[in-house]
Amino acid sequence: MRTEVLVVGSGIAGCSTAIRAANRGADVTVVTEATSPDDTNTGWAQGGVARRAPDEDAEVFIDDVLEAGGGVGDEDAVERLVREGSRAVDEFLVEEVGVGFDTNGDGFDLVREGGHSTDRILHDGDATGRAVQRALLRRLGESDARVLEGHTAVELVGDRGVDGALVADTDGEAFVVEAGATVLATGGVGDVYGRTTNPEGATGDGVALAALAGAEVSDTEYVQFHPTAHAERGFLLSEALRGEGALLVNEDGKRFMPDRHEDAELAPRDVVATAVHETNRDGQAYLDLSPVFDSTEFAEEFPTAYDNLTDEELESGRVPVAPSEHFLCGGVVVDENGRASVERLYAVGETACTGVHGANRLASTSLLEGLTWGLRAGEHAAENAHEPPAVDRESDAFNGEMPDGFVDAKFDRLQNVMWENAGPVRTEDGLREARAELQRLRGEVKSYARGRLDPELYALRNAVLVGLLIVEAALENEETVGCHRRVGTPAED
Amino acid sequence: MSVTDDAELSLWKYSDSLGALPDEYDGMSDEERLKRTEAALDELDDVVILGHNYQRHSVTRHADHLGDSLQLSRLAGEADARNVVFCGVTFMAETADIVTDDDQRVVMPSMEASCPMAGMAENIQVDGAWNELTEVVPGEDVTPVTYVNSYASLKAFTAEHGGTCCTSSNASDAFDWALDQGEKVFFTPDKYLGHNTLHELGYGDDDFVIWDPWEDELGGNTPDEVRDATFILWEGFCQVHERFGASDVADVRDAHPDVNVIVHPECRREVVETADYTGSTSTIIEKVENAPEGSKWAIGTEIHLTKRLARQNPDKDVFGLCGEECSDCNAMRQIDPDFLVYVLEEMRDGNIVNRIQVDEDEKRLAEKALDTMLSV
Repeated sequence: MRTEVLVVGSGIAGCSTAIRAANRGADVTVVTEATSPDDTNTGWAQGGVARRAPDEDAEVFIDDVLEAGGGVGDEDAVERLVREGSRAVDEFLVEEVGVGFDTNGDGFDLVREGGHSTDRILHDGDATGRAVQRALLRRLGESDARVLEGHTAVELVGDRGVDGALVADTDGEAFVVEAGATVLATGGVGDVYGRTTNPEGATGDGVALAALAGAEVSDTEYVQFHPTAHAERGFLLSEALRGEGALLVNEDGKRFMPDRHEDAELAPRDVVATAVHETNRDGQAYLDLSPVFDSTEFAEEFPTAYDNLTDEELESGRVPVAPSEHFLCGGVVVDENGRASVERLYAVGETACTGVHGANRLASTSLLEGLTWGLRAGEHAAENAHEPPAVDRESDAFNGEMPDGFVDAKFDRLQNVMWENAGPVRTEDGLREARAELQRLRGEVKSYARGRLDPELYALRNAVLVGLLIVEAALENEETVGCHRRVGTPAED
Repeated sequence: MSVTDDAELSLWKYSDSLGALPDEYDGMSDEERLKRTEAALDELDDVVILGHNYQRHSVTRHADHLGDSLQLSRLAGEADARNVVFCGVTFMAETADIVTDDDQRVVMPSMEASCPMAGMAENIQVDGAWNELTEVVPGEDVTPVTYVNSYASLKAFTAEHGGTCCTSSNASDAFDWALDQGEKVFFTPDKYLGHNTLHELGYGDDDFVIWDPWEDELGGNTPDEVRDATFILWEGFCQVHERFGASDVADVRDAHPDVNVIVHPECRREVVETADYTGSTSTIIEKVENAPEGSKWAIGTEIHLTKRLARQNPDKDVFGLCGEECSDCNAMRQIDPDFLVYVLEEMRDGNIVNRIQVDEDEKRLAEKALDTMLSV
């Protein structure tokens, strides 16, 4: 198969890229593992989409993003995110795609989340991502882009630069898609950790594929942990709940955030995540929802949370919480058009490292980033897409059998190592141990994956590699900054 | 550049030694690599380099000794050198660390050279399986036998439960010994070696079960199946030897009616049954070396050994049982010659990188299982 623009992934970044490139007349093929809107990270976003509020000075928003990022974000990139992204929300998401955000008498209903200095977040109840994802997929379906659902890009192909990908379906049948431009938009890395707010299948494929093709990958130590996932059942309890007054308490019902930060429950995520993580060391942290019950029509405003909570939890308002892997701030290093350091390769959305997030991400900016860079990459790829070269790549799969459950067991091993040593709090010894373990695991997994075109094995191979990239970056960066917390180092004090 | 070097044998295009090697070691010419390796070695007088039979020529040309895993570990133990550079896979370096003195340091050029078969029997799984198994049959009736191609932790488990290690050449002795201890053998991690060995001892396909650790209960067996079996074989295999099939033997016989087919006992039963000879690496080497001039040999084992045999026996026709790519050990090829330069130069500068150290308790137990093997 040949195409001008190959997009891998169908969240907000992949869809924006594909729709824009198709509208600019390019021949576009989307390869996605997803078979429903619930399979993408975007579909699971509960918060919303931040955009510059009407009459708001852009500088205020820019400062919020940079401050959340620990002061190491790229100012030009943040400026682009705020100015261009805000426009794209209105012109693309609302007008072209037709996302229906909640409104009130004065226009869009704007809410506020931790780290934002004003009400500027658009939402659709507490399931914004779902609404955005559905509208995008509808729009993508109306475009001329070809969509291959249930397909996995297992390898990038090409000699000097990337000329497409080897794509497998669920039966392990593989074929090469030759492409003039290849855009990786595969989302997050939740499966590297196990306890995650991401949907299943977030194995960091794009980061791994790009790294394997020789592209520069950076800032992978900055893994954001959502502070308040359900401690047992793993689903996310959105920051908006704390925005509406939910409190964090310990087993004795005592609040522990006011002692740690002046913004208490609305402190930046890494501060809250560390506090919850540490509270859970010798006890259990709870989210006390009773203030939200008093101030809102809970079932209407937070239907997702309402559906996920048990009757007992809804009665008492006390929900056990724990940090959960949420977002990789770093990734494939890209320029202002989403171009990676390897020719004809792009990365957008969570897969990419645009410099926007620095060492930590401000709430409700991930969809905005995926949208902004997705549109740019779509535009650039369409303009520069050329006829792809013929790729000489035989599929030499041997496809030997592997025992059932093998991949799951290795994932467990990876996740244990990562959670223990490269979670919200990291030590040098732990990271060194993790590196040796993961190098061994990576060596083994490479052998298993070799010659077997089983997408599950490839996902494992990718996840192990991403784990290793996270650990290596975390080892190298001895400073505690943003969501990367090193203890036992001078920076800790 | 040696014409017989075989660094290009990869199925996949990209070199993926990501991050493991500092940039300055990237893109060395073969000449530069050779020069730097030799220069580092000139300054290091306290190092011995061990090369496994499956290593490529650009690595083995620097080796002081060449051999299979156990031979090399013994040589490491006998060597006076303070530093042992093991060009093989992790479990071998672990064994070398077990048998060497405390002040000897075992180093691997790459930490990613890890045997996937060893990785198919993680200790946590084997412990779990043992607990489940001994609920159905008394523990004293079962003797673990563990192939040396396994992690030190599994060897330690073996000693803890009164078992022994074995190699591919003494597996049948180990099985005999184990059956003197009790009624059943619990063999890890290579099901094919286990299967071939029990046939060698006159047992048949009714005498064993496969224990699949990824199954929910009793490795996928009923309690009666487990009670009736003499051999419980762990679901693990070598990625290279598993690739040979009976059809490869048939094809090679069609093409060369006068060929001798010799295969390693880690191959599937169907391959061993249709081959002319079966034997461990040293048996294969010996057989080919002593063969008459002009004879033809199809070798069913790792391709680098086959190629070396072909080089060393120019008077015979020696080739692989299937294509080169299908019998190339991915774990072994992680030892890139660039990595060798790196660890040697670091060592010269006083930095010991990629050291393999087995936990002391584990070491003591694993050594016991290895010692038991020598006495059976």
